[in-house]
Amino acid sequence: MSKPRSSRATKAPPAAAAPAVPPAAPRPISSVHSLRRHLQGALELEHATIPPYLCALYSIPDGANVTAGALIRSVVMEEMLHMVLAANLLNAVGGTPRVHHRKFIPAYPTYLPFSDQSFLVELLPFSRRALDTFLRMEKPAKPHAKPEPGDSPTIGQFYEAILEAFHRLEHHAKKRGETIFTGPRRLQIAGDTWYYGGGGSPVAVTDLASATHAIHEIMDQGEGLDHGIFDGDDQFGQVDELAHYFRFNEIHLGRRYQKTDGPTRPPTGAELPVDWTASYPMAPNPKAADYVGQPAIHRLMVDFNRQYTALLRALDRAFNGEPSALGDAVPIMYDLKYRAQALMAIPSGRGDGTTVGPGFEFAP
Amino acid sequence: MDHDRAVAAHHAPDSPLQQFVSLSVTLTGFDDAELWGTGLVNTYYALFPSIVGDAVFGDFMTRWNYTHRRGAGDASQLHTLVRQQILDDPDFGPLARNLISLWYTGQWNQLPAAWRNVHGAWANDATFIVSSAAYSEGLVWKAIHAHPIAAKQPGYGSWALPPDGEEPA
Repeated sequence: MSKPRSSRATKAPPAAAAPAVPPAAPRPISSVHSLRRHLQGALELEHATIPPYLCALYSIPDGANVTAGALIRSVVMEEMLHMVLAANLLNAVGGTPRVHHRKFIPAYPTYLPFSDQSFLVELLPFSRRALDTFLRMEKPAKPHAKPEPGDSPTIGQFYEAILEAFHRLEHHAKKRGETIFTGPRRLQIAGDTWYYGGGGSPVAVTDLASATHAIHEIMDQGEGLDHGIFDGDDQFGQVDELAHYFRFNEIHLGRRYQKTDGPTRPPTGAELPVDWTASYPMAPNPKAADYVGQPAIHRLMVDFNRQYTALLRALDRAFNGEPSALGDAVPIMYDLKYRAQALMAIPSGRGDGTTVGPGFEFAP
Repeated sequence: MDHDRAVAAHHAPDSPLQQFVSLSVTLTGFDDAELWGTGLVNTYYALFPSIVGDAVFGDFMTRWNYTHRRGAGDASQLHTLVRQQILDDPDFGPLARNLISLWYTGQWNQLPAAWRNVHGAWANDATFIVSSAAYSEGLVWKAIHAHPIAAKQPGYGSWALPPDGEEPA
């Protein structure tokens, strides 16, 4: 990760026979089958970050914490782009992205998929506690950190393992006169079709170069390009945007980064005013089942879950040969926003001053 | 503010605020969760006395509590009583209609001349839209399964989808 991007992209795969990996370390991704499993995991990982970010975002009332809200929103948009990129990567190697099933949605509080389970992710309103979790979720890998295909301390190491596997497996396939890029081109979602308004433009994955590009896009937006604070996204029409960790750190510390700042020191730019009291006090990790005794609330919770599940169904269609289904997904996303904001304003009836909130549960 | 709202709502089930919500539920046909979901319960609760004064608003709520108790447990009886005791009442009818207008359209209507002749012309009693949120959260949009014009955008192509909540033909 500390090397320039060009050297990463052409990194020589480790020789299969060399005993480079210590016995205790997790085994690298050894087959296309395993790569597909990890890419499905990447989809689940990217998705698992979205409900926590949305809860924080939608708990902010209109007109409050405007900059903080805009920063969180910009991260969510990029996580959605990452889901599309993960689906493209999986389709490119002949896999089948599956997002419309019960196990796809984590039950919060949850560990992130493929993580080292060092912290739980919860659905929380905008708060210091929520921001602490966001910072842990987006924590950059240390320079020279090993790729970790499972139980990864950071999301970056998980993707580093996937990137390494793409190069190694394609290299081996080429030697046999084959390729791992066997998926139909028509399954790729590209920026010029149905994807709009969301955190950049998806890359169609058809070969090693485009796969590398897509993975770098995910890694750099998340944790920064080569251990800087910026995501290096100029080719996506977004100039000098901070990587996710640093965007959250701005909120956490109440101060903006400026160009001369680096990743190891706090930001030195303008003050970023944050009002930690200006958010709906959503009870953590809402579940529809918690409100069966309050039918009016329960019905709204179930309605939200049904719409959320309908969104996953539309995405599943979009990722499996019907890219126009993304067009159906966008109105559902807006609708979910309004429903979530309404749930945030309803008293929970628990006696502790909390409000309800969206559950993000599977409800086919 | 929102924290206070929630605390107030929940710590006192029979509080004046909850009584205001139950009156609103009865007059609008929307349930209490839907009304809270607009984020406007406290806004409207504070608005009434700020326009017609605490005494008039207090009498209005007293009449509702009396009606509510008499009609408790019998929806059709309550319906009849609300009509007789509130909507057909020259003092309370205009206030009830204004409450319905607030919830559905976000608009306070200046009370009728006949009402003002009896209760006085209050300085804040002019016709106005309470706020942009009051407009976009108006129940009229939910009732007609549409989005508020120029607010709460529903997304490209949404016009081709059946309206939310529409019963299948």
